[in-house]
Amino acid sequence: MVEELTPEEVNERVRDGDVRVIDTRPAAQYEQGHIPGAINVPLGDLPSMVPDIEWDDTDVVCACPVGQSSKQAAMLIQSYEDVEDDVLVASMAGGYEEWDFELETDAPADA
Amino acid sequence: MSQPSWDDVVETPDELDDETAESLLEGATEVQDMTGEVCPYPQVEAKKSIAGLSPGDVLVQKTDHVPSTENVPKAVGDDATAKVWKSGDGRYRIFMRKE
Repeated sequence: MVEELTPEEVNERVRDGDVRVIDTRPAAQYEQGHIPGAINVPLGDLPSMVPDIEWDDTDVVCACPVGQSSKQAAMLIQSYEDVEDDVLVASMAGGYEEWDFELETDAPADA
Repeated sequence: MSQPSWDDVVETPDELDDETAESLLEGATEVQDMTGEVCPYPQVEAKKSIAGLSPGDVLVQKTDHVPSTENVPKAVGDDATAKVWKSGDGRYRIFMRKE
């Protein structure tokens, strides 16, 4: 099972700087506005891009439009051998539909 | 280092063989081509279509997006019985028979 974080929890952890956000929406939606610091990995590209990301001991939360495919994304990342078992890989409950906090529009540095 | 696969994490409904899938497709009430589409659009369109069908009618969604083969059947829930056909080269058809 995948753990779910509420948008409030995600916002708090983003502000504390202790979570990594993977935005699984298409690039166009990501560019219109995303959770500050989020990395864009469109869902269809996830399997091929997961090995290219430098995973460390920072917890991860996946965010999608409605909080459904982000659960699958989290499971996929969790299944990758380079992601430690004690790293939390969660899904944001309700997705961007429930996100009422700050959105960023300029892209951060790549993963 | 092996690349993770959707097949390891996505829970799809029962699978159909080629012959059954082909005949079901021919008799389908509605076919939606969702190739290239991602969550939540396929789910929304499936629910809309199923709502307008009669019991026994079949909706087919074509897709190349593995997560949809779990999310779409979940989205229609008990309103339809779902099965999936896999081409083996990245194409999928989700068959939903209205209850």
